[in-house]
This record gives sequence, C-alpha cells and structure tokens, in this order.
Amino acid sequence: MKIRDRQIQFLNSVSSKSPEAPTAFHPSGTLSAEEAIGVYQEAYLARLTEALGEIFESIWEVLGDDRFYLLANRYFDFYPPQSYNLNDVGRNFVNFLSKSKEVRDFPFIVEMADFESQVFDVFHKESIKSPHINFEAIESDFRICFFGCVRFLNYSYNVHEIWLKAKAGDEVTDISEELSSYMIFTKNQNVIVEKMNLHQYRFGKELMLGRSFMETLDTFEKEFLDISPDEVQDMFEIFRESGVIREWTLL
Amino acid sequence: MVSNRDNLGFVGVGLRSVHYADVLEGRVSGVDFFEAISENFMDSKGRPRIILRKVREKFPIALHGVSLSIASTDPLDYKYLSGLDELYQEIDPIRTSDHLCWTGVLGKNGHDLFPIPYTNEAIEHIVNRIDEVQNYLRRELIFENVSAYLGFNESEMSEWEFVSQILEKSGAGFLCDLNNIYVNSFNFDFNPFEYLKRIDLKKIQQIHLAGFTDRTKFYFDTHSRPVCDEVWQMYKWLWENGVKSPVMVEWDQDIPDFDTLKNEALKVNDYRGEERDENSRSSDSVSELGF
Repeated sequence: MKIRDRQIQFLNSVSSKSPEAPTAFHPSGTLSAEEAIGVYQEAYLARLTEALGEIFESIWEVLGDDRFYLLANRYFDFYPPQSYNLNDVGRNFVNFLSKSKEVRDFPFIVEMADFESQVFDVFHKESIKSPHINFEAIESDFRICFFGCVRFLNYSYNVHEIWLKAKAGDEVTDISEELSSYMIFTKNQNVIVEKMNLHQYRFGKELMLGRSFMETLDTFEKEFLDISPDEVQDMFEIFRESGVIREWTLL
Repeated sequence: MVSNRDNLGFVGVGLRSVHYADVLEGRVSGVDFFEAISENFMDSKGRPRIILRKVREKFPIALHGVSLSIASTDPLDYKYLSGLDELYQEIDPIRTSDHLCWTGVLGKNGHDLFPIPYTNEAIEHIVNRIDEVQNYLRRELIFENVSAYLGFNESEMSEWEFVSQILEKSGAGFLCDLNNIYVNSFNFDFNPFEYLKRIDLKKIQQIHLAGFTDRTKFYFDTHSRPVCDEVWQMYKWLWENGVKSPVMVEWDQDIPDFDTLKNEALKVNDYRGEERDENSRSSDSVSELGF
C-alpha cells in the first residue's frame, strides 16, 4: 500500500470513534491494536477540546464539563480541523452552537460565544498605535480607516457583563435581554471593551465599511435613525481617546 | 548555515506562558537559551509575538515547529511556510526544527505527530519534501525523531536506519529527542543505546530531554515529569562520545515553577563527564549500564 493510502487509513481511524484498528498496524508494548489506535484517538479529541476551551473559556464555564465535552465531540465530527493553527479550531463553533439544541437553556450563549471569539481574535491582532489625530481641524467630509484590531459589535444581551461574570466563576442565571453595543480593540496588548449606544455602534460600523462621514449621515437620514450631534461628538471623543483610527482621508 | 559546532554546551528550557513573567521581569538566570514553539507565535501580531520579541532581546531562541508535516502526502502548505519564514527572519533563531512525522492528510489536520511506515518510499518522499522546504526557507532545518504507539507492518527497516537515511540523503540535521528514543525502546522492545550507536552522531544539532508517563502497557510521551535516569544515562553517553550540541528540557503538562524547570535542565552538568576520544567509542558503555 502506498504511503498516502496508509495515511488516509490512519487518520480515518484516529478521527473516528471506531474501536476497530486496521490490520496493517502493529501495536506497541503490550497494547492491543485497538488500544494503540485508542491512544491516538484519545489524544486527538483531548487536544482539540482543550484548544476549543482556551478560546471559549467562559462558554465552557457556563455549560459545564459534560455539556461542553459533548458539544466539542459533536462539533469536531462536523468540522474536523483543517488549519495548522490550533487557534483556528473554533472558527465554526458559534454557527454550530446556534444550531445545537443542547444550549437552548442558555439563550445568550450564542452571542456570548461570538463575543468571546471576537475577543480572542482581537487579542492576536497588532495593538493600536495612537496617531494623534486632531478632529477639530477636520472641516470637510472624510473617510476613516480603523486599525485592524477594531471591531464594532452588537448583541441582544449584555454579553460583556455576562462574560465577565462567567470568567469570574459567578453563576449566570436569569439573564434578560438587554440590547448592547460595543467597540473592542487592543491597546498595549490588552483587549479593551468600550460600551456604545446602538446609534454609535451603527455609525462606527458604517464608517468601518468605508462610507464617508456624510454618506453615513445620509444613511441614517434615509433609515429615519436619529443620532444627535452630541452622540456623534461623544463617539468621536471615544475614537480620539482610544486612538482606534489609523488614518483619515479628507474628501 | 547552523552547524553543530555552534552554541556548544548550551543548556535551555522550553518557553511556556506560565514563565513569561519570570523571563520578562529578569528573574531568570542560569539557562543559555529558550526554545519556543513556532506555531504559538507565527500567526499572532498581539501579545504572544511581542513577548517573544522581548525574550529574544534577552536570550537566544530556538524555534521548534509542530505543524510542518514533512511526511504528509498532501502538498506543502506555503501559507504556513511563509509565516514561518517571517518569524525566522524576525527572531533570528539559533536552531530551526520540526519533526519527522506527518500531522494530517486530505486537508484534515490531526494536530498530532503521527508515525510513518519505515519504507524506502517514505524516505524518498520525505527527502524530496525537506529539499523543497529548505530551498523555500533558505536555511537548514533539523528534524526530531518522534515517539510512537503503533508501527506499520510494511516497515522495511528499523527506526534508526530510517532516520539515518533521511538525514544522510537530505543533508538535514538531527534533533535527537532522547526521551522519544527511550519511550520507543520500551514500546517497541529495542535497546536505546543501539539506536544511538547506529546514527551519525555528527548529525545531532540539538538534544531534547523530557519525562514520560508509565501507562503500564506502554510509555506515553507526556512531557509531564522529570527526566528519568535512563535518559540521563543516554545523555551522558552522547556527551562522552563528543555530542555537545545545545540541550534542553521540555515540560508541557503539570509545568513546575521556573526554578524547578531550570534545575532539571542544569542536571546536565551532573552527566557531563570526561569526553572520550574518537577511537575509544565502543559498545561497552551499553552493557555496563545494563541495557
């Protein structure tokens, strides 16, 4: 048998839960062939579950070991890892959770998982470097380019608060809906979470998509969204203080 | 090109996140270098990468990969190689290594160091891949022997013959993991000194030491315990036979405080006896040790 066929056979055995071992292998020590394959099967799932748990630490905390292991087990059946980077194993987990009946007791869990994966992603991005932008000098329309670590997020639960509670090991029960918007970014290698209101979130998101300041105001007007000058000013104050803008272009 | 004459006698430990504060706050002395896992840093532009840069300002670093998958029959991953190249350029490591193994096939990654059938077909395949990788990275890599819990019936030779042929035909260096040799010697019932005697010691450019777990039916390479006495004896034998390449202790589970780890690594000094001259190399030390 060619080496490629043998590798396919081996990996199929390791990633399946079948106790059967191909006869082409001989076990080490006094193991049976099934036990020898079992060593690799056990390590495979343990390593992936651990990597998933490092990304979704608070999801694991809220769901508990049994439920998390069960979900991880099923998740890796649906989405076997393809990337060399273990940090990528959770790429489809939020989507997977949204379809999992095991988490229906936790209506906030999908949003919290999304928030947690965003925090993990941002943590590995380059921190912002404040470019000292003076907004007072800007008089015409402009476009903004944010640093790569900046995210605008919006949820129907206050996931940041729930996330902090879960990380601290506190119980997260009786959670009610509470529309919550955030801007997250990394500064000095720390992930910073800024709470915003819905309009500010939407405004920031439009700017991030490449719309100019005036185009964004037009979008708000067309959609009958009211954003007051004070809200806009506050938002730009947050941008200025946090230093999230890499550059702006006058139009 | 790195030669096994560089950094002779260096003693190091694996760089693990639990010890970052010790290293960065200057509470570390007594080790000559750190070995970092390439994949933990290559795709991060955030804190992990910054920390690695800071450690590099204080210590030489060896970069050790786990995902090159040199024996896989899938095409080489050039995105991975590009990230590795960028990290190498930035860190300027004293050694660049990965494993003689494969980690996945058909685009699926098992995130483990899987064994290879010891066949001529596999040798040819791996040698060609090493050539392709070294050309792309414009540097020599060194490859580590892995522990295994099963073998392949179609194997045509011993592990040491297989490793030796790959090293000889590819020109790559050897990262000799003594714990892996010892674990395999138990699991596959051979004399670990026979392995050492049969390989070209001049190929050894780095040495790994670690502890394993005795699972009764087999030894499991867990990196969770101190180095066992038998492995220290193997290290002593290498030293006495002129191998003075950088040596380091890997500890990945139940990681102790930094001083305990450092003291484990510094035990090498207890096993660095008199070096024998070239002509006195013999198998007598094997029988003396009872293997």
